[in-house]
Amino acid sequence: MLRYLLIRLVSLTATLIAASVVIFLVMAVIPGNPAVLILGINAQEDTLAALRAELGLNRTLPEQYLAWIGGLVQGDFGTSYTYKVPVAELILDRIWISLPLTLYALALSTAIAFPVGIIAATARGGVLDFGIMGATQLGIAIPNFWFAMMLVFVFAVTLGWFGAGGFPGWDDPLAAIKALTLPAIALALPQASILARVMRSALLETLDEDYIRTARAKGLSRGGMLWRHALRNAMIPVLTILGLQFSFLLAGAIIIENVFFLPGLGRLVFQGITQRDLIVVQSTVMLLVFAVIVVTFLVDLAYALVDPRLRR
Amino acid sequence: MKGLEKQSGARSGPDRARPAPQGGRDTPTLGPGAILSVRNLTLRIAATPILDDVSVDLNAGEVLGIVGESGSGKSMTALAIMGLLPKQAHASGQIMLEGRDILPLPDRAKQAIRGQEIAMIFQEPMTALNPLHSIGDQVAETVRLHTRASRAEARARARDVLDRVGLSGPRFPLTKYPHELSGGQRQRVLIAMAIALRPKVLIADEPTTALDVTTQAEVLSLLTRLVEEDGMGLILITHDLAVVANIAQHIAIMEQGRIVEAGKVDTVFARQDHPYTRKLFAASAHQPDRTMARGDTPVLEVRDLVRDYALPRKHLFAKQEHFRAVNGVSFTLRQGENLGLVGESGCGKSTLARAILGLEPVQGGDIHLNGARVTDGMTFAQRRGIGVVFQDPYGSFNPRHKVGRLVAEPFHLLDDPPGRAERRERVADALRDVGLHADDMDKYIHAFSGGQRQRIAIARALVIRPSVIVLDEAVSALDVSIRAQILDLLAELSAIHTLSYLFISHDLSVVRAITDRVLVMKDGEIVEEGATERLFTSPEHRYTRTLLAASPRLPDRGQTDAP
Repeated sequence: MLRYLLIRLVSLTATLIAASVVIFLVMAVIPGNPAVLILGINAQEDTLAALRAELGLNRTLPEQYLAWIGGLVQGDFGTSYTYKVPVAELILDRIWISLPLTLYALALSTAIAFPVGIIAATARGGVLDFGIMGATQLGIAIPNFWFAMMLVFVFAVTLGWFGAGGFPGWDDPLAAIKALTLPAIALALPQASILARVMRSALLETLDEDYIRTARAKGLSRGGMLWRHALRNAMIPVLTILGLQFSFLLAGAIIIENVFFLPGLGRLVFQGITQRDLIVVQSTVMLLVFAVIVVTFLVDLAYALVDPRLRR
Repeated sequence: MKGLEKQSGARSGPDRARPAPQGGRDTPTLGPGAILSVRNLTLRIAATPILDDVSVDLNAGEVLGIVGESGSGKSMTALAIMGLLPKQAHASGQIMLEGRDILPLPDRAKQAIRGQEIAMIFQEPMTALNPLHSIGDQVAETVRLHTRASRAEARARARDVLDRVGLSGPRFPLTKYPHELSGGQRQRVLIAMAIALRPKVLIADEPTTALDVTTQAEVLSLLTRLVEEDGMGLILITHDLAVVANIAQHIAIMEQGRIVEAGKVDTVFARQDHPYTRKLFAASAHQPDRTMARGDTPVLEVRDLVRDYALPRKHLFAKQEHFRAVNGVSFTLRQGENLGLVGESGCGKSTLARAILGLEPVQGGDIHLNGARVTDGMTFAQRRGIGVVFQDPYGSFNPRHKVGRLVAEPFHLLDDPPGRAERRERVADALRDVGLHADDMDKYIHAFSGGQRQRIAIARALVIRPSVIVLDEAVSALDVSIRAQILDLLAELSAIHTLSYLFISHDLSVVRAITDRVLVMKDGEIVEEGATERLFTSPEHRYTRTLLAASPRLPDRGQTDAP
């Protein structure tokens, strides 16, 4: 187990370093000079030079890279060109929306997908299975911004149960959760559809295994067999998809954030890109990469907990 | 969520009320000591008839062998007794367990019987255990399901049972996982799981077919011992008459869903009343007619061959370690000679075959094929000299190609590949050679049975007239009667085309029937080599003697009408 952990940790660090280099280089080569963007195209050459020096853009690339990484390690994410405030502050403001929203959506998606997938698998070939497969197909196909607008129309505009958008802050946790509910549902629907299908096929594959027959021969009921022998074996592909969905939701919620006027990480990156606020983009993307890699590491850990064969 | 709700019912297994005995019902008179009695069992799945009027009796403390070829219905009979038939199955008749008909019971009542009164073990020990649970938990689960035992009591019971099946404490703690055990050890765990509650009936469906002969002998003697000690009845389902001959008291022979002959083993073996019984015996002891077409020219020479595998590194900076799968093997195969290569799984025989075929690099030694050195790879011209037939008649063909194209595959090895017309003609010849029709080349592979597919595989190997064919377990997956036909075909082809065979098998009786000379391989080395009859009648090496002693043999070879 220790060996497995060590190998995973080494690969985690290596991935982080490689990702940081790639992000940095991509940001360095894309056209668009931040100094020109900040001061406007009519700015004087010496003013531009002074600003470049201030931003550290006149140093060599390796120097810039090391300065950036050195700052990241100490929690200094740089200073936004447009807002003139530390990037760390910008991220911190938004992560308190994006992270809870992601976890909320993931919890919803799991809560829907697990039972639905299990029911579909046990009713293989039946009407219920057919219906579930059709519904999940629809869930994947419906664009989530359209679904989000429908949710707003029905539950906010017509019924008035929820606000149509915005975020009141965490001072009132109940109000905050309420504000995140519609966006979380909109995000969870396609994810739940995908996850339910993965759950179904993983479970069907497991149910054909010889050890399932052994379990029945022992005297286990269908339910007992499902619960004790089939589900845990079906978890590995499901965990993989769950890990991917977390990463996707954390940064990929941008459209939904826009529909509900939520100032999340997705919107921050989007604004950073349009305003050529490269340091914001660079640091936020790095943070997201870090989150994705950590989640992958956690998924690997979960594999080892589920499957003794990986613990060697 | 219906399935999940039922689970609580299973947990409280011991508290469940047993169904009342079927008092007023007419029970057929049972023989003295008969604990299980199957009466007129007829079964169809959807519209397909599977079993037709099957009746057998099983006595306590005895072994009943059910023998038949694939599709004869022997496994379905077992599943019917277990109450584990597929959904669309419809069964009629009676299955009397100590005078109580268990066939019509609801699944819930059958759950209480399964694992406690009737237990079953299956063919594939490698996949029959849940890989995520420790062996202790899996054995203890049987106990916990059917008794009120606490977790600790169940584990203590599991320990006892594992000791009984020969997996003793210090080497096999309860915390071991299936992947840490060999196939034979896993089969012991499955047996432990089945006998934990001392069931009255144990059904073993091909329990040793996937195991090596020495392991098979150990598992069979374990089963025999358990039957004696516990007085349970054992139904042994197998395709192998010899296995039954060695341990069963009664035998039932099945063909196409019916029992064609049944009775005491000695009687059935001596009388062989039914034609199918005679056919089965003849096929099991079949000796193909072989006319020697031997020359003295060596066609394949292997000298001091070494094949190393790199083992996974223990840690990132560890020294690369190697496993020597083939260690200094030397032999010569002459023109027209049939050379056998026997050994247990993991001894290196398949690795040796792959090295000879040039499919893997070698780390030492030399291979000469038809006089040319081919150790470091073969030219197309050289590769033409050697063909191969593998074990699995289902996995060795691309299902999207027609037979004509499949058989014509080796033509690309020719410097001057024949044109379309000549190609079809030669494929037709090859198909006729193996007893099929020329028309068959326009069919797809799924239209053929296992035996026919193996004929097609032989045709494919034969089509460019190689001098050597490597047969890697080529008849192991076939039923005995089909196997006999393929052996005849091989013998005939060898005589006609002066073909040399390297015949690799774990089945000693087949090797004895078809080879002139035998190599015995163990741990990557050839431990004994000699003329087949000499080696089988007076083996010299200790390991050869162990192998021969372990392989089950049919008694009274003289009584069967084998040539």
